[in-house]
Amino acid sequence: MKKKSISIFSHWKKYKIFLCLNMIIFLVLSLTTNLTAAGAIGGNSLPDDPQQVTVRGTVTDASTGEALPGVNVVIQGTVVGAVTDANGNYTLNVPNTAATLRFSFIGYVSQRVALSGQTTLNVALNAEVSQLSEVVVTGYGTSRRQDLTGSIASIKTERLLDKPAFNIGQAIGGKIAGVKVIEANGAPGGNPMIRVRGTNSISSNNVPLFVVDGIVGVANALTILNPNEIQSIDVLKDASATAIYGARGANGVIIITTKRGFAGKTTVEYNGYITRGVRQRDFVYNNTEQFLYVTRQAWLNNAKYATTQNWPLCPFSDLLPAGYNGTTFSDLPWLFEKTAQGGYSIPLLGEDGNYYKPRFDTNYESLIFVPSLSHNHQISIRGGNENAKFGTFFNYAHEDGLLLNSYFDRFSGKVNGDFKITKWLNISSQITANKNKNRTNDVSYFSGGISRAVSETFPLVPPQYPSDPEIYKQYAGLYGQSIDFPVGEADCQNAWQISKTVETFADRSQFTGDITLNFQITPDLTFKSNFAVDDNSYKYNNYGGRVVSRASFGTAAINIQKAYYWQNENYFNYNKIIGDHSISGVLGISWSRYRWENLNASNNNYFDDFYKWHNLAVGTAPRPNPTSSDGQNSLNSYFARANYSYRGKYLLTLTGRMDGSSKFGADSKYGFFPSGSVAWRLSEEDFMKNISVLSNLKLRFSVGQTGNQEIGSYVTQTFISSTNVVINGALTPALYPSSVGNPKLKWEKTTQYDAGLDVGLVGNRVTLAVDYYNKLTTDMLLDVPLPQSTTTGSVRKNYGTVENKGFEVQLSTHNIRKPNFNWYTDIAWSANKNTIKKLGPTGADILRNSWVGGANTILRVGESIATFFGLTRLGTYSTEEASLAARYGFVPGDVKYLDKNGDGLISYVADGDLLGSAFPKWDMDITNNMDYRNFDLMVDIRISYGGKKENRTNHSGEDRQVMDNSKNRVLSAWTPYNQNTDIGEVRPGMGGAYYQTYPDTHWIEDASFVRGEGATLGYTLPNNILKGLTRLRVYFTAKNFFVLTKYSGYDPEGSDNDNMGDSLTPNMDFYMYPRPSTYTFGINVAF
Amino acid sequence: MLSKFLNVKEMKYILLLILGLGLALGSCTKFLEEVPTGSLTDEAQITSNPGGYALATGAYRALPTWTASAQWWGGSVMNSLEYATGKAYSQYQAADLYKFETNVESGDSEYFIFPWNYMYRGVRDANLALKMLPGVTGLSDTEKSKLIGEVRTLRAFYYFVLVRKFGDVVYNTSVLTDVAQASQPRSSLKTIYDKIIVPDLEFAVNQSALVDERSTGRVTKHAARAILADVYLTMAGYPYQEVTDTTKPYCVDGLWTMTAYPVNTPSAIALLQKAKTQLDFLYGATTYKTWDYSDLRTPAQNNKNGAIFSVQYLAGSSNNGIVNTTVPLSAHTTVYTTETGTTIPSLAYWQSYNPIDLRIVDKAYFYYIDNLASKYDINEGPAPKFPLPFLYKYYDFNAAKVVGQSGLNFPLYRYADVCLMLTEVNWTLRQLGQAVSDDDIIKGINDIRTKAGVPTYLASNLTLLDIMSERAYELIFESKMLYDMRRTRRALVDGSGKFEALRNLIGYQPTYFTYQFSAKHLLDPISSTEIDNNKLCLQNYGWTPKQQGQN
Repeated sequence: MKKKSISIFSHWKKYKIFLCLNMIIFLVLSLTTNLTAAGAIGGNSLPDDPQQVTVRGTVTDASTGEALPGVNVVIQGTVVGAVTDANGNYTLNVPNTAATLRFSFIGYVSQRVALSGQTTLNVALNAEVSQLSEVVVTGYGTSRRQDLTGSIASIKTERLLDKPAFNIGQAIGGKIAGVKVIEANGAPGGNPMIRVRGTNSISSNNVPLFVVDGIVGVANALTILNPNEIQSIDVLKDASATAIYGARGANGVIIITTKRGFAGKTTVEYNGYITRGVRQRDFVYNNTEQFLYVTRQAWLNNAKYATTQNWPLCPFSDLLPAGYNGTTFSDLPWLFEKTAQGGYSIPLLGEDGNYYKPRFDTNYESLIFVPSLSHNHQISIRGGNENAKFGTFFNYAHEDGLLLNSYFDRFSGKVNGDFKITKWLNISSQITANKNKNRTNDVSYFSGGISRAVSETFPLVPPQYPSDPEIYKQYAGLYGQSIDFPVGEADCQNAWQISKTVETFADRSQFTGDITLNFQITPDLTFKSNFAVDDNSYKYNNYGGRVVSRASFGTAAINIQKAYYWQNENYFNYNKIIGDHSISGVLGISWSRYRWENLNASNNNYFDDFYKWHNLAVGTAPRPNPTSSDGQNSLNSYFARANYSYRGKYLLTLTGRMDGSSKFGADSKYGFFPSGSVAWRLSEEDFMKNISVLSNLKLRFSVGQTGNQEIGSYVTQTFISSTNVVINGALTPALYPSSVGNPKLKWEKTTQYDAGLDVGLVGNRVTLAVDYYNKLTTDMLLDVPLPQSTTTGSVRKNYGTVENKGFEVQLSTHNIRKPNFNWYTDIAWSANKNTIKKLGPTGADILRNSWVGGANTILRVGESIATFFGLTRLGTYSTEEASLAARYGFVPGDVKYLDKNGDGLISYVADGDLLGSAFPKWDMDITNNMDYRNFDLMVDIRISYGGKKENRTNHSGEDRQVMDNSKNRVLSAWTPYNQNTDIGEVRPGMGGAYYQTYPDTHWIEDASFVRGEGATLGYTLPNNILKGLTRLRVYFTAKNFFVLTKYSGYDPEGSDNDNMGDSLTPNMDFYMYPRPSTYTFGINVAF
Repeated sequence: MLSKFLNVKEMKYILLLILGLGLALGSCTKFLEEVPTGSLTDEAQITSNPGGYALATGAYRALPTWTASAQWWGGSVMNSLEYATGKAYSQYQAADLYKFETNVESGDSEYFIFPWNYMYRGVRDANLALKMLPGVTGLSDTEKSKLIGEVRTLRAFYYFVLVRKFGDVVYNTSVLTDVAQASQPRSSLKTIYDKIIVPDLEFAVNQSALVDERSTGRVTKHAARAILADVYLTMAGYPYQEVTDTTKPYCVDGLWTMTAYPVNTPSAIALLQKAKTQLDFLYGATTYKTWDYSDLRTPAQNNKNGAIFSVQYLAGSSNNGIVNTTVPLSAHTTVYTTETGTTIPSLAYWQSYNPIDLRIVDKAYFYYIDNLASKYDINEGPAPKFPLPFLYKYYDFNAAKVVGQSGLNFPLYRYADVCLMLTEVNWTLRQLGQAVSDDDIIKGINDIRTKAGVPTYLASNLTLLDIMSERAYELIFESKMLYDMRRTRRALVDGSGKFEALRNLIGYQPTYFTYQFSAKHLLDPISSTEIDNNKLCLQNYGWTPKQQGQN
């Protein structure tokens, strides 16, 4: 182990150098460039001049088209000016129409425009990278960033479009310190795992709350939303920010605001791209020659490792010298052809005395994981006037997977409108329809699915036999199968055959709609009433062909789920400035309900593959088994927030929410979640004003409590479940005790402290936000194991404590600011430490993820939630250690494990140990953006350090042989001449030879990595050559274009979540779907 | 400014309307009530007649776990029992069966975790039924008594398995209401027999309204009698006879010393007499007299002929899990997805049969050749030669060749077992000085031998070796041998054409094992999950993992 850590260090030296270089370059450049702070605007003395002309206009945001209120408009060379109103309009009297106006607004690049005789002048301002005055969406309201007291990170539309992203997860990945996005695998339509500030809970979920356009907890936000439609994403991280969502806030809140219409000329935009995906790395397993070599060696060792004298039990002993019973190469003409003696590297002697060589050497990986072609098209039409604004959006996206026949299609349409009905009433509404269809073409008839079949199918078997019956006999024209070479397990299926004979579709249709009435009661007081629905249905269709589904003879399934959610939220917003005091507040009440119903039906035993899932009744399964279930849960809440600010210097926020949830036990239906936060803008103090380089300095502190109500519905009661028991060939209804109830069950409580520092330097060209947080989740839900002698085995109780604490650093710099050249750098760095503080009544370890050999992970007080568990593999027993090996019932050549307690027995639990955490020590993302004239360049590098990953493919790919094809590393297994190895001597999985396989140190690998997350080069055509177009940009993007890691599998990140995955422990790999490198060409057009 | 806004009357009305709506919703207290739709809760009143039957049927739920898989590929609860005797073989070792051969098994194995959990699952199901049945108004008194008889028989059976495997076990006859009471120490196996197993079964046989008839899946009085006879016979042997003091930690300290068999105590004699009563009754029941070896592998004969009480299966719903483990490893002779070759009698066991025994004729209890399944070869040509005899006893042909799912019942008690128990009881009573006629002694065993085409015995020279050998021949892989070995503390020595000898279990080394049995092997290790979650539960002598602080 020591050896390993040293080599990691040397690797990291390289990475460090890389980082340092980046920092140095940017510092030097920032100092040498011309640093200018925006000039202050003076008084407003208007000369009484009869010659003057009145100029009018609207100032908008160049990228969104939205009106900008509060923009300073000043006549060049004077102190005369005006400020735009709430709709971005200004009126200014100028001495003559030859004047030049200067438009400036904090956070935007100032513009000078000559009137040149015009009296109407509309101006679009470009945003600066660092914006103190940007509007941040808080729950049930908005705030200027400078007024924030809590920790909220925002991503605006421009940054979302840095790189083409198929879903929100990809769009925000790496961009926000403290938000960890792990793409589970490379499958299209995949749902990334998102964690805000660590993992709080063991038995409850850890998914942040999604609020999309005010719909709280919208379903499937990650897959249905097209990032192109998004105006902004705001992530609420600390308790001050999330407490307004009470019992649903503990995992963080992600607020998504989509684009809407605006007053102005109707704008049509088209964004589209086409993407090529290729496999990023190879999974190295044996080719035919290596496979035959290992097989022969294995049989030679059979006698040594078979526990009984079963020499004649080898059904395929002829890989040994002739003379044993069984099938031989001459009996397998479909796989072997005659050759001269010495005609093949391994002498394969048939029973007929001739030598043979294999006919095929198939590389299934290159056959199954083929380059993909995806494309995405998005059209938006937006416009309107003062009284009615509209937006219409359409999207078609096709994401093609590397796996043959796997794809994800998304169709979506959205219409929204904002209407000014009277002076005191605005109505906003939106309707979204979304449909997506996912073809997975995977199969779960054996664990590991198609990715496993790719590496385990014998390479000497062809994907499909040629049709010549002379040579290929009964196999002519059929799909090849490992079992055609009668050595291994009958279970391994040809990946090619699976891809051709299995079809699986998952369809989702989702409809959301909302209407919001916005009453302006007084200029300071508004009342909003919102009603929203989310109606979605899911359908799953699967058919596995007669051959591939084995004993099921064709298996078809249709599963349908319908879910319906509605909410009604009503709240007041109050904003008032009285002198130096600024007061604002929110007060509201809300109801919501979620209902679901599902129906599953399946059948098997089909006489023909024609019908697939289209006609379930054709199957003749002994007992097709329909199942159904339904349920609902409800929330009733009251919430309030108050903000107070004194001269913009001293800021205070108090928030509270009372949530009642049907999920909670009868004894604790309502919970209260308060928070408070303060901030001090030191930079506004007189004593700081002289420090010209310092444009912003703010200290923040917050504390509060939020909850996690995702304890599941119907878990607080004691259930008597029903089942059917067979009695004399008939199913007979039966009742049995199925759970231990807990009427006291309630939400998990997370108390979070956050201390933050915001710094802005040189006119906010450098902004830095540093946060330290400490989150303590108490009353954590835990399925506490109980003795099975008296109980069903566990009870769900509020019985645990988990701590997450960490640092977040978000640094944004504008390194170079020249008229034609700008360079920005954004760095997000975060480190989270996760520790279990209390676990169950006794604090006893809880072993989890039991799999081949034993539990793969452990929950232990003092350790992180995602801690791997297993034996310590010391290597293999050498010939000198024969007597030591014998003590444990083994021989030289066997894997040697540490007998931790020295009792002479390798006991998995007693001798097992902690093998490291799947959580990284820190994550970092560095994005550099440059624009030179009309070119823009973005390079995004992601770094993760210190996480471990369990490579379970070592179980079937390394620890055993011949049952299936093995990983290439078995070529370095123990032999009398190669005793210094971790891999036991090869032996046939069949024939009575034992082998040892346990989760152990050998399965755990370092998952640190440096990833080329994305790089984009874009070119915007100059305005003068565009006719009728306002914008035309083309770009080329590479994503996941390199990965530096020591991890040996497809990807150091993610899990095969379809196969024994676990939402708590990322990084468990049992034949993951490879994640591609993608290359994209895209176009943005606006007119 | 303000007045301009506030003058608008309509707005007020709209606001009032919305607020009013909101308050109306808010005052609805049922909004947060949780009403499950798909499952009953413990507050449900089960009063109907079918509801009462469903409660009783729940107690059968744990029986099909008899052939449940365990410890990965090809392992099962059932084949591990045979492996522990030293008379089984496995072609594939992923199921860790080799650990029995090399004495490295422990309570971490699912071979011990699962039976513990499954049998206690049955106990808990039975306890719930026994708690609720008296309140089911839809049942007549006779029905109630009958159902309680069924459930108590099943509870006794589950405990009977538990004590034979684990010795002292947790005493649980109620429905737990306070999870704080979940951890309980083990009670003496003698207490379990005396306070649960025997009273439950004696209630079923002597007091309940159960009817004396053949079981067609549900427990009948016949079934209860068979179990009770086995219980008495077992109690007349070990370890029950050695446990005289229920406070002594025999199981934890391995205080096993006695080896003499039969055990000559008044208690043993009395128990054997009671067993004889039940066995005589069943032996006299004409309904079981016609049976054949093929019944055991023919689902159509489930609950017929010699079957007295069986685990019930139904293809596609609840499958017998052992059929695909008995066929040769990946030989492509069946349509099963996996052919594991993990449930095979050892070659030496097979060689101990008399060569003329009809039970080893091809396709009786064993088979020696098979054809490829049609899915691998349309012509169903011959499969590669078998390397050794495989078990045909449970070869459900339709399951193996056509559907890949078996509805074959697993026999827990059948007529042949009753015959052999009867002979053993009578023979033992004579050994212990009781008057028993010659005919009584030989009638059971000779029925079995005649059927097998092997010479019959005379009462005068019948030995315990003969009786135990016959049990081994007839009841091969019926989950009997391990318990026979433990209750007699004797083991059969493999031979040629016969078993060579009956040896003391302690010190005996099975043909393929690397070690001799010791006091440790008289019991199984307690499940490691129970050790982890029940701190009052100590581990058996010689086994790991031990309870924290246990020496």
